[in-house]
Amino acid sequence: MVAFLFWNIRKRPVQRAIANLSKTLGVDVLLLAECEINPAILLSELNCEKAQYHYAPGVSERIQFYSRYDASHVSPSYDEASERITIRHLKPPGLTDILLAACHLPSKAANWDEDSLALMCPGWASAIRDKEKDVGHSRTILVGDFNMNPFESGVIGATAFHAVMSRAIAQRKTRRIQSEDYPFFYNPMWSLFGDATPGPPGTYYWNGSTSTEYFWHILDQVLIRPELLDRFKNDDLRIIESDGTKSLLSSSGLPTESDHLPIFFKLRL
Amino acid sequence: MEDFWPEDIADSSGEAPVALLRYQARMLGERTRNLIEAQVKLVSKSRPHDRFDARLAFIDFPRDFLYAFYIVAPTLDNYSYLLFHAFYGPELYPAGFKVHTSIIQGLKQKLDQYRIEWMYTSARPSPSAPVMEKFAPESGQDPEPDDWILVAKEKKQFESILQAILQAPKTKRVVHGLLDQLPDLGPAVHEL
Repeated sequence: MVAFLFWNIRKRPVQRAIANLSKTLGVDVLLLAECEINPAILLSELNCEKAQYHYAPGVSERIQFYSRYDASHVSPSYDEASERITIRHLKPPGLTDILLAACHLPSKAANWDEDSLALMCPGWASAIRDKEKDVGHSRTILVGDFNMNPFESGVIGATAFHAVMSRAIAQRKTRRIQSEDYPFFYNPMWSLFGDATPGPPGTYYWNGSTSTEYFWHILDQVLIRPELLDRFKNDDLRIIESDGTKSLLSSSGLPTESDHLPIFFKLRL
Repeated sequence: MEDFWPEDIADSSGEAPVALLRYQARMLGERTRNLIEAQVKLVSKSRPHDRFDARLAFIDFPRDFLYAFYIVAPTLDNYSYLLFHAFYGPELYPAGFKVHTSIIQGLKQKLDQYRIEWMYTSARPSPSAPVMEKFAPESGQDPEPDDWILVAKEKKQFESILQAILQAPKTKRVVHGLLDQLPDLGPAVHEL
């Protein structure tokens, strides 16, 4: 099993919490967005008891990669010019290799509305498909801060990420629209919305003043290609609310360390 | 049909020179919390022909497997420093090292016995013995090469040469120089 953790830490100095999380959850691959912690400082914290983690530098600085596998097993494959999407070829020793795509898409707080984001997503989705053609397989996951909910057009749209809520539908592999085939992703994050699920109701909380407020959003997501679905169990996916020693939520249940909560999942590779 | 392969054909010692290199590479990471790492990379065979190759090609030294050993600082923009090359053939030994003379400054007397120039002599030469005639430079040129090629005839010699290179003062200065450029991480990391 390979365990992944993604967290947008909103530029906070939360290296201790990251180290605690990595140890508590047995993280193998750690991805961080909005991380301004010096990699040497974070690496030293992660490895304070034992030198387990390696820093895997790449071109993009938007997402930082740390891994229990040395950097040669997390090799850069593609970095999009605006660094919104970065793709690594993850080859854990003795295990199945995958394409690990990570994203930190533009924020609506920076005046990107849903339509503007949705218009950009086809380009990013196409970059992933191109990389899949290069490596000759579609064992791909896309994880990160999408700054969109699972139901927004940039995530669900066929020309965009085409990420659907049902395994059975994703396992059809593609859908033909206007004579063109568009591959599916499976989006397990749909299953984590609301109070009736284990853990917090979402990954990001925003109490706006408009008439339509969701309050809890799931902006941090993992999308999985159907080729990997037999290696993924929904029970292994969680929104994390504690670093193992300290809660990441306030007494009223809202994120504290960062305005995003981490997501954790596993793949049997 | 009969299987002609010997009984022990599939046995292996698991101690190829590259395994020794990878172990030492891992040890550096463990000592420095992976802030400074060593990487062992297989070098492509498609290299331009140069004097390094010529010396080995001249005496037909096996070089089927050629590895580069780097000191790497991943958090310093992935800076890498080539420490040496190691190479050998399918029988593993003899195995060779190619290392710049600046790295083994102060160790030349200890390592002189392993130089490729003496490989086919029947007795150890004196320190002042001239290089073998085949490698004699043209007149007027400095006879001292930039790189030494050191030959290990078996595993113990390989380990001795490797140990000498890793413990060389220059190797330590390179690692310490990289560590000193990192932010203040406390005393433990610098106790190398």
